[in-house]
Amino acid sequence: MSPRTFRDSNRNISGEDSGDFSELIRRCAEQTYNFAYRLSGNEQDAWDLVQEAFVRAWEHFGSYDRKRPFETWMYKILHNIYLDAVRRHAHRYSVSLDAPPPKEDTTWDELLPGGDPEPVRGMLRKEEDELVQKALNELPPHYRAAVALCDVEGLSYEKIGEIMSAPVGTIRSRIHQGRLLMRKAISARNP
Amino acid sequence: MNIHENNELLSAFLDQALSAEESAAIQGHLTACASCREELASLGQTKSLLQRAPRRAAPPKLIAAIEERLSRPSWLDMLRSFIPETRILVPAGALAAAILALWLRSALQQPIPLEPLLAAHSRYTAEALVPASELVASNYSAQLNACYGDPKNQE
Repeated sequence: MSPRTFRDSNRNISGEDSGDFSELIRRCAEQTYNFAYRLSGNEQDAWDLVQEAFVRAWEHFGSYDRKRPFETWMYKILHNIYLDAVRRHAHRYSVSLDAPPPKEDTTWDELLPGGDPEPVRGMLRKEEDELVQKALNELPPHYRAAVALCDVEGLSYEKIGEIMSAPVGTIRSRIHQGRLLMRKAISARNP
Repeated sequence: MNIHENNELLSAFLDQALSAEESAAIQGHLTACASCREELASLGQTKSLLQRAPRRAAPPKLIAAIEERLSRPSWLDMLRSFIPETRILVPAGALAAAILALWLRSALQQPIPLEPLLAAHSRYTAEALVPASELVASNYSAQLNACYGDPKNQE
């Protein structure tokens, strides 16, 4: 399939770049979406964030330094869009993980009479994931981004500093404070 | 290095983000400090919970939606389509600027009549030196008119 030609709103971009950029979208969409989801806490906002990030990346593709990793550049753009949105609306993104958890007096055996351990593990993982996301949502944006980039995306402090435009010392502090806040939020929800 | 005062070092140790000397110092401290060992284990649990969190798969239509949005002309492109091409716009602008410059030049070259202005200036200066009551009593305005001319006729 031949690559689509994107609009040339940036005059520094050649037609050939459309193909390259199309490849980059395919390569980075998953990673970018996961980070967007961890930041925003819901699928709709993650979808919007990712779309906006790729549109902005394309508009500035002419100034992108091809020697540097595209993923880091995308994370940086997405993080900036997220911060802009947080500042503009001055509210936290709402959480859409609102599937009700099992009642406290209900056991997993009652829910899963078959006794197959795999679905139980799956449900436990889902519960754990919801717990993590709810705790993340309670973190202030800078801590949330630092913790997500370090522990979810597995990036180094140097790369996180580049993405968040902050020195490594600040990043170290944000990651540590973020983890302490996460621990507190998790303990409050799951004593 | 006091870890109890700067416990960010424990997180950095956990992430292997310290220098070899710093790591060795932390390691040495941990063998002797049970509370720091506990804190490190607790931070490790939090980190591992985040690492275990399943990755969210991008919705199947996301890539197509991005590409569709990038192919759609932006409002800027649509605006551009209403504006004539640069090759027409630039000469037209230059011609308009030249006409404006010529008009300004001819307007500035017309002579400004100085005499009536100087006469009015002298008249108002002379009036200012006479008290208002005497100006009326002596019919000073008529004398000034005789000397400098009536201002109504000067305009």
